[in-house]
Amino acid sequence: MADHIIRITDVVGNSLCIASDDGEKVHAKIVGVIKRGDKVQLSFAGIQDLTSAFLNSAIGQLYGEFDEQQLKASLLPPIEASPDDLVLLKRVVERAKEYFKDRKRFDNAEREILGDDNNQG
Amino acid sequence: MSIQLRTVRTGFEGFERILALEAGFESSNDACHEIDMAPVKWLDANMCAPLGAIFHRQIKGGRRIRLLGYAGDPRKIALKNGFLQQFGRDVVKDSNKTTIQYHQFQRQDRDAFETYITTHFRPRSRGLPKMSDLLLRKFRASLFELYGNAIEHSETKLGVFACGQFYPRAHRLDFSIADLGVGMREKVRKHLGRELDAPEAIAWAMEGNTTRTGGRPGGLGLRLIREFIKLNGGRIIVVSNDGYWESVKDTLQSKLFNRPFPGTVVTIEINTADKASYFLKNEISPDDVFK
Repeated sequence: MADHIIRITDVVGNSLCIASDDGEKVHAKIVGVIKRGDKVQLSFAGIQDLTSAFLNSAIGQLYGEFDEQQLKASLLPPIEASPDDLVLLKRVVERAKEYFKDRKRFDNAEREILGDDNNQG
Repeated sequence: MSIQLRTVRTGFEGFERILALEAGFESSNDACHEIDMAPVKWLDANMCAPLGAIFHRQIKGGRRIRLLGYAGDPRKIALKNGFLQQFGRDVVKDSNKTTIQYHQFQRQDRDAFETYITTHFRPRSRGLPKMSDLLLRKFRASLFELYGNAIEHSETKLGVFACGQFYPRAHRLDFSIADLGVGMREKVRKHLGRELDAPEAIAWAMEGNTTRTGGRPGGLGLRLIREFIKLNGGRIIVVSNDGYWESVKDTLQSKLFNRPFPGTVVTIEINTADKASYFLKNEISPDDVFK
């Protein structure tokens, strides 16, 4: 299991980490590394602006694709992140965990309802 | 002759109704104020704090208070939160655990207030959003600070009145703390040596300024709470003298009442539909982010 440092600004191409499209590029890199069974360390060096939209698409959506335990093992503590970056990242991660936990509940509920309808039909 | 009270909700209009009641007291020579509670279809339980304060002011002035026609849900909640204890009614058990008991504290009751806050503001109780242990401790400390301000800044000898309520259907937790002190306008006037109107004086204090001298940090103790409430989508209301000041997200609103409240009331409203987790900036280590 190798460790890969992904420098976010290198992937985005500049210091403005704002748009979710740019977040997607980072997301694709992370997914590639995790699928190979390796570990990811994100570097926040050189970031001028950072939004939750960017982090949601880069990192938040991982919680809908991978098991939380697997992400715990695959995502190493970020480096070169300012306290503000860490606050935003932590918030995005916590919200993503909540959301995908709820989504599973919603999906199950929906399945039950659809199942009932099918039985009646 | 009885004085009428109508439905009281947390906000400008609710306070106006409490102030109208206070005006009724002041213009009456009766030894016993009879309050017609029949038109009260709803009373936000946290508003028992300012209501209790103005009742207490009359009682201290040698008057008696009688509540007439107090029925239905408003009475039920006032039995549960202990507001009617002062009228000889036993407290009814709050099996849903949504109330923050009505309580009057005196200057020497600091420890009792601390116990009160610690008991009622527990992790995830009464809809409280998820907070780190450290943040919850700081949050409670800010509420102690509010009590300290009410006692010390206001120069009151009539105590501090606190009450709160979790409204699960409305997704909010409201907590009010009232004093019968000099009010912020007078306090700020003495400190700055110039006149501000009441909303300006409140705004001055809410920006973290303090009239307290000495080595201890001052302000309203609300800086942390303000930041939290802003992120949480809640609301802060301060009423002092004839000033009304309200902060919701990035919007500030201030107004004047036709008559003054004889002291200060601070109300904190927490949005309990908020699923986010809160922690202090400096307590996040990179090692904790994905834990």
